[in-house]
Amino acid sequence: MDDYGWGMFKKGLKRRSKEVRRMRVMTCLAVFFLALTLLLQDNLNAYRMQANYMDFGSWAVRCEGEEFENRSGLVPCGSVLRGSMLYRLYPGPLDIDPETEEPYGESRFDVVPEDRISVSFYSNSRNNSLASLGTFDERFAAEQNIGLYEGRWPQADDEIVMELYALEELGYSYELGQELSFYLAERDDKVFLNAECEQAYLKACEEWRASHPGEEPPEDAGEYFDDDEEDDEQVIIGSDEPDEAPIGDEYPRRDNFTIEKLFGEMQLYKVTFRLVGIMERYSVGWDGIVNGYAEGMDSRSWLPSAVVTRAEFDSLTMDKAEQRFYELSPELKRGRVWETAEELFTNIENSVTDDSVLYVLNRSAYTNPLWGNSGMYRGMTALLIVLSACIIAYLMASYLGKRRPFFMRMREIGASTGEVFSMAAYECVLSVIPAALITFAASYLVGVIAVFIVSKATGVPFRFAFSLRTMLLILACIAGTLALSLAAALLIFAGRGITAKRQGLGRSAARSIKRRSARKERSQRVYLSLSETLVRDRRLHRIKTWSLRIVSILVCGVILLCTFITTYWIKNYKTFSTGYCDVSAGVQGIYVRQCSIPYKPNKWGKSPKIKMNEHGTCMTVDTVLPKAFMDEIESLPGVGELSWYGRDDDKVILDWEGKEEDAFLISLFHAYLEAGNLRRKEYGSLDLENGTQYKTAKEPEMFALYGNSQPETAWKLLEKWLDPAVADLDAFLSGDQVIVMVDDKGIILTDGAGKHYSIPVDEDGVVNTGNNGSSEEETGLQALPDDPWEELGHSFEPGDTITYRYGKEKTLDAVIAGVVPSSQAKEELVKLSGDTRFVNKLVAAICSPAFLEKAVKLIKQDPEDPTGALDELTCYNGVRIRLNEISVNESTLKSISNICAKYNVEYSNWVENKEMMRREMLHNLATYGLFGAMLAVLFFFVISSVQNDENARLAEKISILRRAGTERSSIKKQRMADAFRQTLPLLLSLPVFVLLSAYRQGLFKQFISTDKGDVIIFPNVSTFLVNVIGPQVILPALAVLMLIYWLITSGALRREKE
Amino acid sequence: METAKYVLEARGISRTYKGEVPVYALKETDLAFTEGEFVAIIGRSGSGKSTLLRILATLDVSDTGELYIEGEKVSGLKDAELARFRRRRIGFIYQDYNLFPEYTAYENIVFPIHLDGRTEDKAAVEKLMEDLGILHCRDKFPHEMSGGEQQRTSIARALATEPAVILADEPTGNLDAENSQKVAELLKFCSEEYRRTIVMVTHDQGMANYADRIIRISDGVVTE
Repeated sequence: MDDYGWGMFKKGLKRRSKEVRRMRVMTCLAVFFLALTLLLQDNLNAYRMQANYMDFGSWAVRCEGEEFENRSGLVPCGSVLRGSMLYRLYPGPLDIDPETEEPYGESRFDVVPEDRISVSFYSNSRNNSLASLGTFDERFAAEQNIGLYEGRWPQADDEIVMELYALEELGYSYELGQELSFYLAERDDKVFLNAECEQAYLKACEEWRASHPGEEPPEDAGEYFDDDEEDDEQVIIGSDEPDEAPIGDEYPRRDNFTIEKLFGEMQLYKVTFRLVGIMERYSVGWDGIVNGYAEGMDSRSWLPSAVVTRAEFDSLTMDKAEQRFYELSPELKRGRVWETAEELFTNIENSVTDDSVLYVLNRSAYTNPLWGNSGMYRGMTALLIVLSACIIAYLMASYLGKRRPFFMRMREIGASTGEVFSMAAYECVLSVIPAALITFAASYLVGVIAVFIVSKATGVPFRFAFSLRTMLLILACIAGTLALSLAAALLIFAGRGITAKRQGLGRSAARSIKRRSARKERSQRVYLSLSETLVRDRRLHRIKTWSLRIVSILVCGVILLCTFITTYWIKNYKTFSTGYCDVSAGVQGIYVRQCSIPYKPNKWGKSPKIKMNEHGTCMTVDTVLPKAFMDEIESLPGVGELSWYGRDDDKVILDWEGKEEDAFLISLFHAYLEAGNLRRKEYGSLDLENGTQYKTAKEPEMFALYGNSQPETAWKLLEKWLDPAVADLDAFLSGDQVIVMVDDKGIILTDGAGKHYSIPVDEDGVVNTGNNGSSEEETGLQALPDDPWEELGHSFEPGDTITYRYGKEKTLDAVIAGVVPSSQAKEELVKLSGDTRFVNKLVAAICSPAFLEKAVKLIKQDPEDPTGALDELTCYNGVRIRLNEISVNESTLKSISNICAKYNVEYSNWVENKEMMRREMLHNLATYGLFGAMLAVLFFFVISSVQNDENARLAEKISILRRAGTERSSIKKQRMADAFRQTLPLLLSLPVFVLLSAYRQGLFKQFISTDKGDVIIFPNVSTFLVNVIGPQVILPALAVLMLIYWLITSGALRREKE
Repeated sequence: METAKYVLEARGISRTYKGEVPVYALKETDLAFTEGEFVAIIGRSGSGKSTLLRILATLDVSDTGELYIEGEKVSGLKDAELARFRRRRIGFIYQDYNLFPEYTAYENIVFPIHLDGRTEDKAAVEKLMEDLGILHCRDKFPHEMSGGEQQRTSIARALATEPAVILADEPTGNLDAENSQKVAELLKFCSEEYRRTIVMVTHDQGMANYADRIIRISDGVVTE
């Protein structure tokens, strides 16, 4: 062909500019799809890595020692000096000074000033603090993203910054400026002070036994519980009453093995600092693989939770160690850092064989790429490339298919195969290459802008990640697909026969069309239809048709994966926020420093006493939170479950000593009842009709009686078990009847060792609390059998009389209104209050306040009766609040603040957000959510363009059919049917994805065996609906959207033009 | 048979379409056409006449036999040579015109000339167009012309390269009676005026009567 001919060919292209433009637009969409998805994947990964550095620090390895000082691929990035653990004093049970009635040493809780009762809102607390003292500089803190909630870093030698959790664990408030005192160990044994005291005491006891063979220690020796589970002989836990009877001189006294007494041996010394700042939780959040640590040791203890100045640290006498931090070298950080880091970590694990080298790898920062791991990342990259290639190939095939008649005509008028191929190649290159290159460049620009927006929106600073590898992959995909498409075209052009149209169908396509035709004939329908045409047309282009369908399904699968991940993290975060964990909405806990409520001073003007037990957590208070306060807190929107508790393991010891006025007692009693949270345990004996007496012990309890401040409600809840012939509400309310609950599960709570004890009672009926194991001879009482029900031979029946004994000659009778299985009673009574532990007794009973009033009066009939000297009332002076909704966090806190102010509360609080969870959710939204959304949008446009193209192609066929006499309505119906047929594979794939998702979430939990074999059942339909269907709503929505678009653009829904 | 005096000769050509059920489109056939002859091949639909024509036009390859054009054997030529042969010696007229929609009538006519690397004689082309009555359509695109004008343009394109043979596949199939007659007369005129061998396939006896010779074909078998 001469130049003029080429000129004509090019002129023809120009005249077909509309078609060429359409091809270019579709090319742009396809290349955008390819380039943007890959670029976004790379950059979202870069974002994720940066976010990881912000969350976990950028160090890769930390180690004590110089093991990694000169290792290739690592560069030092600072160090942390660590010293002694921080110790607080936890007084033992006998550590009350009898003269001052104050505990020795330091108490965990401060004595509350007279005008305040402290109320604290806590999150999870742990029993053991792993806090240690150390130092690092601010630059290190900034680089490793260790932030301060409040305050500043220490500048003076008497200043200290504490990690939040350390303040909690050590029992301090969060007030800046307060003085903090700790004990440091010069010799760092890494064991807790109390445990050492116990060990020392046990050792002394063993030595005594060894030196006194055959002798038994005194019964009231109070040895400590030996928690070695392999021992057959179990030692009883020591007394929990601080004021115990004196023990034998020779036998080791527990009070000689207190922390104070052992100070000298422990070489502890006291230090005092002023709190100037509170650190975010950094020692907990850093997760890593610990190597070389002893089993059970926690690497977090190697990071200081209390930071002082370097000068101060150097001046302290204690064992010191340096944790050196190393990060990846800049060269390794570039590119696919997660793969690089993994190789490095593996290399470290294989090469460090010396067990004395203690190091921690920070995998969280480096090996947590997009899609979870590098294998998935590569797989997803490959999938995206294949999908994009399929889309580009489809577009090329479609375009070349439309142009095929032109090129075949060219051949018919004498153009050679080479000339035709040249023309086709020129046309494709002209239509595709400029658009592809411009789009390729534009995608980078869009990527840069997207990165900027995401970075600003999430607060994670990161730059556009350019990867030569990705760029080459994109270009190779475009070029490769183009080349393959043209090669395929060449094969067609160079075919044996020159035909503008395809000659015939393949065998399978011909067979299926024959079957279809036969079906139509059988139904006697004359079929000259669009459907038939479309079916045949699609069978002619099976590869093209099915490739588009498979691409659609795969793309939707990726979108589903993204949706699943994002909804999982949103659900996680919201679940976190809705109090199913022991934290509150979006926060790890609400920390209120000092929230005070005024109370009326008692008549004697005494301040609350503090009595310490072995746990050091008793507190005596004279009043409790007013009921009104509790009601207001409960009614706040956004407040979920409230766990009211007494600061002292639910026990508040009231000292009635000296109080003689009944009126005061009664008024106090009613005040507690008014608070709505009173439970009173009665300690007495239980008499049965057959005269057998069983005495109760304080610990363990077989029998208990509980008064409930809502007796009518309790009655109604248990009414169905009451005997209508006997039960009388009025009698119950007046204290003449009780409702008995009997253990129906055979679980009997004792001392944890499975033994029951009888408690000796003297002839005056005084219960000798705290002592166990007395013999029948001593007490005259029958010991409780192991299985009391068998020996008892008695079951409680409605109408029986139950007698409560409060000391000598002091009995109170009540008729049993009904007997309720305790497990079922528990289910009902939990509606009244959250605590149903009292039901876990062999026999428990509920009575009205009137009965308890009678009991109180009974007790106080004899002021000398020591059983009246002490009583326990359970009341609430603390509450754990769990918030429900993230959005009302601030407003709810404000409301709490207002309520406390109303009750004259000095309220200051701040909330520690669960940054890890929130950030993780945001990170996943920013990555997977953005990726899925972008993929959906791009793919929608691609499919729309394809459909537009198809509509244009079908227009001619429809025109022919209309001229042949096919009715408009028939064509419309057939187009709708065709649209459904096109989206059918996608719609059918959705249930498959649903089932895969359900399987992955482990919802196929149960199998039931039937005659026909095992059947899978879903244990929880609502869980299935929420966890599986919910997150996948986007896919059906996408499919419906595509279907609607198809219907609209295909003209199925619009009026046909004549 | 003396090959030299025949412009177009087919010896023992046959064609079978393979498939689940093979279709014997053309059974072994011998045909010969002389210069300036106007031959009509008539047969029912599916008789194999279009297959025969396409083989004669080298648009399809026969399974057996040989094809000669102006004494030269074209069977077995390579693609480039065959393409050259096709554009210089053969003109093809289609039932549905097969004009390039993006080119004007004039451009459609001269394109095959340029495809051969030659430059057209404008005057000659215009005269041809005038003779065919389509000079007024010179700058019109096919969608701007009537069916008859398009078919005449197609005829002009076939004649423009001065081929030895013009093959017409149902040239009047899409035309009305009046235009069909005109086209038939035109073909007759071309065969006489330009001494072109014209082989026309038709199912219309009326059209066939314009031919000098009628060949009948039925179920792939040619009878004269």
